[in-house]
Amino acid sequence: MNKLIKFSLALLVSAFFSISAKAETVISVVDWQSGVGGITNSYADFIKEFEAANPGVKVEYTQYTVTTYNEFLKPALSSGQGPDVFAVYPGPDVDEVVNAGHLVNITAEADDEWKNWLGNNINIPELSRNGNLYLAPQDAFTEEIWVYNDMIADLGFDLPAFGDSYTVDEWVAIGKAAKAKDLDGLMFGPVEAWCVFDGFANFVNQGNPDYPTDSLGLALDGKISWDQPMFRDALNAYKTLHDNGVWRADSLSMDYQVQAWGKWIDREGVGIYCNGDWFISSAPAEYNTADSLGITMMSYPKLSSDSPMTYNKATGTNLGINANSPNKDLAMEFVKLTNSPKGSMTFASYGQIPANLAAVDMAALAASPNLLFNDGIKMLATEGRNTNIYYSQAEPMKHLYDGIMEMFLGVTTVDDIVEKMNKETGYSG
Amino acid sequence: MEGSLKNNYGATFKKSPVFFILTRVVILFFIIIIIFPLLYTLSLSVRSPDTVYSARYFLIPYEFSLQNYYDAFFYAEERLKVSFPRMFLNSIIVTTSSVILIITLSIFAAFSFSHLRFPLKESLYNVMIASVAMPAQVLLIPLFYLLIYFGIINTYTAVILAYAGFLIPIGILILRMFFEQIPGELTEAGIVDGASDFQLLMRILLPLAKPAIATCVILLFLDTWNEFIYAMIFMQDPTIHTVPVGLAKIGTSRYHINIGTYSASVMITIIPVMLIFAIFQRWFIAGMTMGALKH
Amino acid sequence: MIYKTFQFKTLIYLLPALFIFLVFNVLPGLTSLVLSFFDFSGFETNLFKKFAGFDNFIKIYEDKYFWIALKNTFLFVFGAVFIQTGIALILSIFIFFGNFKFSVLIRSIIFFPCVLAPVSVGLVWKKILEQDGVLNSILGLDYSWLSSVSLVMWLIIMVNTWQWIGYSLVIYYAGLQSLNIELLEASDIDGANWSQKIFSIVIPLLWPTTILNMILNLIGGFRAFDIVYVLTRGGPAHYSEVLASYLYYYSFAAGGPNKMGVGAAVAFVIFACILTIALARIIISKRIERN
Repeated sequence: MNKLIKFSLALLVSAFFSISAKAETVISVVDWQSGVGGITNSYADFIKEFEAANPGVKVEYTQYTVTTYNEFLKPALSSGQGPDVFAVYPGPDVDEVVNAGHLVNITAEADDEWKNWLGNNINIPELSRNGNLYLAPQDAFTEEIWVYNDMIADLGFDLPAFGDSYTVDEWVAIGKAAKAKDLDGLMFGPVEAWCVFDGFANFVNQGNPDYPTDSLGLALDGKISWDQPMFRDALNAYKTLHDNGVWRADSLSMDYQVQAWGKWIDREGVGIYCNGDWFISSAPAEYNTADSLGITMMSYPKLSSDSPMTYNKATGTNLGINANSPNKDLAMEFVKLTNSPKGSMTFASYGQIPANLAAVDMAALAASPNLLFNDGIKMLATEGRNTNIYYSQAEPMKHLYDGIMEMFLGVTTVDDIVEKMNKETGYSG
Repeated sequence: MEGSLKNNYGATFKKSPVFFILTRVVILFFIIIIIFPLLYTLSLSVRSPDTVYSARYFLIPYEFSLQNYYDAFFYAEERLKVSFPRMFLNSIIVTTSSVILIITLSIFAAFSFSHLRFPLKESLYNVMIASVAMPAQVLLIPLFYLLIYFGIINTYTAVILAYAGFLIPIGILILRMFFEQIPGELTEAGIVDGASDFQLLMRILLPLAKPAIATCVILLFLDTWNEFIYAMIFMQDPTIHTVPVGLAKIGTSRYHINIGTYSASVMITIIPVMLIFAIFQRWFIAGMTMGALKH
Repeated sequence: MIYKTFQFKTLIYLLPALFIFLVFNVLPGLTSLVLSFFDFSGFETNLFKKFAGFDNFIKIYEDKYFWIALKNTFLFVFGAVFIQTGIALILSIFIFFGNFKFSVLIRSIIFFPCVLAPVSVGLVWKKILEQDGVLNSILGLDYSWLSSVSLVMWLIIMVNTWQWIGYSLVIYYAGLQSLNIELLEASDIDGANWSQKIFSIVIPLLWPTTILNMILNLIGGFRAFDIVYVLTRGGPAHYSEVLASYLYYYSFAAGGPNKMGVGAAVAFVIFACILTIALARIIISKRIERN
C-alpha cells in the first residue's frame, strides 16, 4: 500500500509540473479553422517565413474546431493570459471580447502600408467596435449554393448563367424532380444557426426597398417594424422551401459542417444550401479538374425572377492581438505578414481567397489552375446587392432563429414570428 | 448454487408452457434489441468503403474489409489532430491516476469516519452523501474558473482533481460501510496487541476490505473512463483528449466522414471495453450491483 | 471506535480527502449559487463585476425553452424511473424463473451497454435513427425520427433505457437471489399459478429493490447530458433540451448566447430539484421508520 501511495503522489507531482517553462520567444496563434486545408497550408508557409525573418522566435499555431473554439477561448482569455494572436467569432463575441479589454486597438498601430493593403476592407463593420479597429481579416468569401452540374442536367434543368440564381419556385421544382429520383434538392444543416440566419438576411435584402440601408440591422435594433413585406417574404420563402421538401425533414436535426456537407459529398443532394468559398479547399477533387469543373456556384434562391441579385460577401477569420501579450510588436508583425501581398498570394495558392483583395491582381488570381477557386474569385467580384450577415444583437437573432426553426417544425406561423420579433426587439409603433 | 435455487422456486414456473414460451419470446426480443445496434455498427465498420451502403439482411456485408479501421486512424490523426493510441493513453493516465488518488484518500477518510472520533462527523458525512446525488453539471461553470485560477486548466491534473472532488464521497460511502461491518473484536484484539491506528488500518482492515476496494475500483473506473463533460471542457488541448471526447469530436467533426469510417471509430472505442468486460464480467456486474446496494 | 476522545492525528486521515472534497466540490457548488446572480459572458477576467440581481432567473422564467428543458428533464426522469425500472423488473423475473440454460450470458449481454461510454452509445444510435438509417430501411419508412417535436424526447429516453436497463436488471437480480424461498414454496403447495405467483408474491417482495432502483434512476435521470449532446444537441429547435444541456447551451455552446450567469441560474434550478428530492426522501424514510 505504501508503494501505491508513493506512486500516486509521484503521478500527481509529475502531472503538476507537466507544464514546462518556455525558453525562447513564442508567438502563439489560434483560430477555429481546424480541417480547412487552405488555411492550414498557408499558415505553415507564413510560420516558415516569419521564423526565418525573426531568429529566436517560434510561432505556435493551433487550430480548434468551430464547435469547441469558445470552450478554449474563454478560459484562455479570462485567465488573463491566452494566445498572442487569436481569431474572434464575428458577431456578439467581438463585443464581449472587446468589452472585456482583451484586444489591442490597432487603429493607430496599423501603419499606412497595412491600411493600403486592406483597402476598402478596413471598413468592414465586423473588424471595428466603437470606431476603433481591433481585428484584421484573413480570408474572404461569398456565401452561396453549390450544385453538381451533372445532377442538374439529369433532372432536366438548365444551369443559370454565372452570377444568376434559381428562384424559390424553381428550387421547389428541382426538389420535386430530385425526390422522384430518391435525392434531395438541397442539403441543409440548420442546426448551425448561421446557416438559417445568413439565408434569411439574403432574402430580406432582395426585397429591401431602402437598400443599401441595412433594414435587417434596424429591425434587430427594434427601430423598424418586422411587419413589412421584406421580412414576411423572407419567412415565406423559407416556408415554401421547407414545406415542399426541397430539403429532407431530417435536416432539422442535421448540423451543417458534418452531416449536410458529408451527405452532399456523397451525392445525396443536388445542391448544398449556404455553402461558401471557404470550402473550396475541401471540395471533391474530381469535380475540379484542370479541364472540367463539375460544380456551379450560385447565390441564394431569388424570391421571384425579377428580384435583384443579392450576395452574401464577408471575411472569414478575423485575427486580433491579445492586450496581455508580452510580444505585441512581434504579434503585429505576424498578422501584417498574413495581410501582405505575398501573404495574400500564399492564401490564394492554396485555394483560399484572401481578404486583402486590394493587394492582389484579381484578374491574375482568377486564372489559376484551381477552377473552383477562380469561380469563387469571380463570384466575389460579381456586382449586386451585398448582404451583411454579422450582427451583434445576440438576443433578437436567437429569437429569429428559434422562430424560423419552429416554423419548419410546424409549431409557429409567419404571423406569430413577426409579432414576436416586434415584441422581443422592443419595436413600438 | 443457482440451479438448486431455481428448482426450489421454479416448480410452477416450469410446469407452465405459457410462461415458458412467453419468457423465451420476451428475452429473445430484448437480446436482439440490445445486440442489433452494436452488431450493425460492427457490420458497417467491416464493409469495404464501396459497399458500405449494401448488405445482406442489413447485417452481412457484401465485401469484408478492414479499410475503414485504417481510415479511422488516419482520419483522426490527419483531420482532427487526435490519435486513437494517444486518446487511449490519455484515458488510461486520467483513469488510473484518479482511481488511485480517490481510493487512497477515501480509505483514510473512511477509516476516520468508521473508527475514529472527530467533531461534526455525522453532519460532514451527511453533506458528503447529499453531494453524491448532485449532477456533475451543477459544478461545471465555477469549477471551470477555479481550475483556470489554479492555472491547471488543460492538464490531466485539472480533470483528475475535478473527478476526485466529485467521486471521493462515493468512495468514502462504500468503504465506511464496509469498515463498520468488520467485527469490533478484530480491531480490539489489535489494540490490545499495541498496534497503532495506522497499523490497524493497514494490517487488519485493509486486507479484509479487498472486495469493497474492488467494488470501488470498478465503479470509479467506469465513471472516469466514460466521463464526458468535464473531460471535454477542462481538457481542450487535442493532445490530451480522452476517448469519449476524441470520439465525440470525430462523430461531430467538421468535415465529411464516411459512414464506414465513422462506425469503425465508434467500434475502436467499444471493442477494448468489450474485451475487458468479457474477461471481468462477473466483477463488473457484482461491483456495480454492490455499489448500488450501498446507497 | 479506536479512541475514546478526539485525537489530533485523526485529521491526518481525514484532511486530504476533505480538502479535495471542499475545494473541488463544495466550494464550486456554493460559488455556482453566487454566480447565478451575476451577469458574465465568460470572457472577463473578473466574473463578479456585474451584479444582476434576479435578472438571470427572470430571464429563464420568461424563456419558453427553459420550461421545455425542465419538462423534458422530468420526462426523462419519469422514463428512467418507471419505464426502465418496469422493463427491468419483468426481464429479471423472466430470466430468474425462466430456467434458462445461459442465464448468466443473457444477463451479461443485457448488462453490457452499461459499461460503454454514453458518447459511443449516442453515436451508434444516431446513425440508426437518421432518415436514411437502418431503422427506416427495416420499417420501410422515410421518417425523420430525430426531427419530430413529439417523438424526439421519447427516442432519447429509449436510447437511455437501452443503455441502462441492464443496470436495473442486475440490481433486481440481486434482490431476487435474496428472496424468501419459503413463501414461494408455500404458494406452490397452495397451487398458485405462475402469474399469481409473480403478481402476488414476487413483485411485492421485491418492493425494496424497486424503490432502490427508482432512486438510482431518479438521480441518474438528472445527470443526463452526454446522450442528448451526441444525439440531438437539444434540437430540433431546443425541443429535446434537458436542464443540463440547456446549461451547456447558455454557457459554452458555439453560436450560443454566451451568458454564463444564466447557465449558473439553470444550475441553481437543478440543484434545487435534487435538494427537494433529497429532502423528500429523508422525510419519507423518517416517517416509515416511525411507523
